[in-house]
Amino acid sequence: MNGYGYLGAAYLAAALLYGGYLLVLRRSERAANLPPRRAASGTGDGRLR
Amino acid sequence: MAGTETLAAKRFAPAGLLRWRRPLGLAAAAGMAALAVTALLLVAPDAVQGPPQRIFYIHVPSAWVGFLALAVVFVASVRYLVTGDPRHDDLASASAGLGVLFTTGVLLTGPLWARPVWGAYWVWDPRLTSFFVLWLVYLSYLALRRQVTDPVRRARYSAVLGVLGFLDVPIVYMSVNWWRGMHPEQVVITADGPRMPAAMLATLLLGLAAFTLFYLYLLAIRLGLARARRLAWATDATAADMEGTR
Amino acid sequence: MTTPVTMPDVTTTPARIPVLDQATIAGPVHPRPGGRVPGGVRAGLRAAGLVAAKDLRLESRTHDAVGTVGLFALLILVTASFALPTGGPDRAGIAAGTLWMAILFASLLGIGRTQALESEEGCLDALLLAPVAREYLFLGKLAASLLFTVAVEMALVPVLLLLMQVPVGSGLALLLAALGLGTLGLVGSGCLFAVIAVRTRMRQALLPALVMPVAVPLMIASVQATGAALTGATVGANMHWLALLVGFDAMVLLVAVLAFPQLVEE
Repeated sequence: MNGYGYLGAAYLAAALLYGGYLLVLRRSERAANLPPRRAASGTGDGRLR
Repeated sequence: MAGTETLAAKRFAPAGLLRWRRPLGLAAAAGMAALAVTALLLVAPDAVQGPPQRIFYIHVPSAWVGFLALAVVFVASVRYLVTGDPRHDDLASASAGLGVLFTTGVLLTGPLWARPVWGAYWVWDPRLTSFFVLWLVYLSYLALRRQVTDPVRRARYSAVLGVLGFLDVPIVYMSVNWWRGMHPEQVVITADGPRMPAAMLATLLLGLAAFTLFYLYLLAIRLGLARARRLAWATDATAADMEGTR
Repeated sequence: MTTPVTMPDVTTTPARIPVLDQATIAGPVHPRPGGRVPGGVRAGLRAAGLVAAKDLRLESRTHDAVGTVGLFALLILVTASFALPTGGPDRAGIAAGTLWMAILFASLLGIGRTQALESEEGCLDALLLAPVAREYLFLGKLAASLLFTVAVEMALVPVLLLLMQVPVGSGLALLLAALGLGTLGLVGSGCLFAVIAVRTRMRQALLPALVMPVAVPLMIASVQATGAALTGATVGANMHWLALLVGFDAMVLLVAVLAFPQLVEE
């Protein structure tokens, strides 16, 4: 593997790690029934849940 | 019931960081994109090391943000021990997970940079060894939290670990100067200012900014999750209480 | 046991609806160790002395902490002297590393066992009945564990110097400083994490897993300083290691004072 190979592998690994984590995090937000905006602003329609 | 409107009329304005979630996400995305373009295409390659040197622009920011995350764990843990407020524990555990994330990034990008430049994926020199130990400390922080179910105990135990575990960070940082090892010497912060070509320094700073924004964005998401958990608990408890008085 | 949650009062008129503000969402503040504890410093020190005396008395009957553990540490040294090259050019560094490994394993073994005994037999609950600030209980345990570890070291160091063929000479002051500060930090963090470890599922077996990563800065500084001392270096030339040890020890003691009362109070 030449220099470009290592470079690509490193950037790819970082992208997978950080991107993957971001995806997992957002998925767990959806699992908690929290569309991103809702989480930040509380209930907008007057109901407790 | 008559009371629910009064209840709902109260707006639960998100505290602090949560309000900035959306702008942080956009800024982080923009920053990362700019970094990728700059680091991979725009900035000139290093004469000696060649293409792999560009890994520097994601390796060093990962390390810095990892340390930042662990510093936040440190401060939040101290504040928790002093006040007992569970929101500090929320911050500590949120930031600890991110600390493990970014230090894992360092441990992934580092060897891929080391192999073409030094000839080996890993050496047990002081900086790498102490950094590896740091990673282990915060892994054990997460493991300890998994093991303890009672929230009060969990918060207290991890706070102790969060404070004492941080003492490795100055070691990692200073080990380059106190021993002779393989890891490159300090080039950015020296006695007479940064010793690096301006273009490289600018790209590095861009990387730091992008990674910091990314960290803050992830932190905002995690704090939002924690807050939602507590909100669910609070409304559960309130609803149950109100049921009982009907 | 956690204190029961106190929710806002909903038993009266519908107008008094609980308000979900930030503070309520956060939930109740975790219980802090109770306010003013009677007794003061003199009673506290006396209690610390009694706790230490208890451990010493136990030791005098079973000879576990110094005897068995000391033997274990000695065996580590002897095994290392077979396994590692002695008498070579870097024998000071090897000797220092071996010494601290032996001290580390021995102290963790002793402290873990003592703590497990204490919680098994309900001794800790009895101790908590004493009307003194909890920090003094920690002080007593720390003092006793320090005494045991130092006793073991007093046997280890001469044996080490003999086995590894290392002279001491002008590095004696540095050696004593490194041993003293390093042991304080090691035993302090051991006692602190022992209280946590015995309350988990794995009990005292978890202690090495908690202490060893955290103690790495301490070990690095101790080993480097001890190694330098065994080549005859002075205190002045190794101030950064000693400063690190002092910083680490201070942090451990600070966290102990801050957290120990919360850790034992269940």
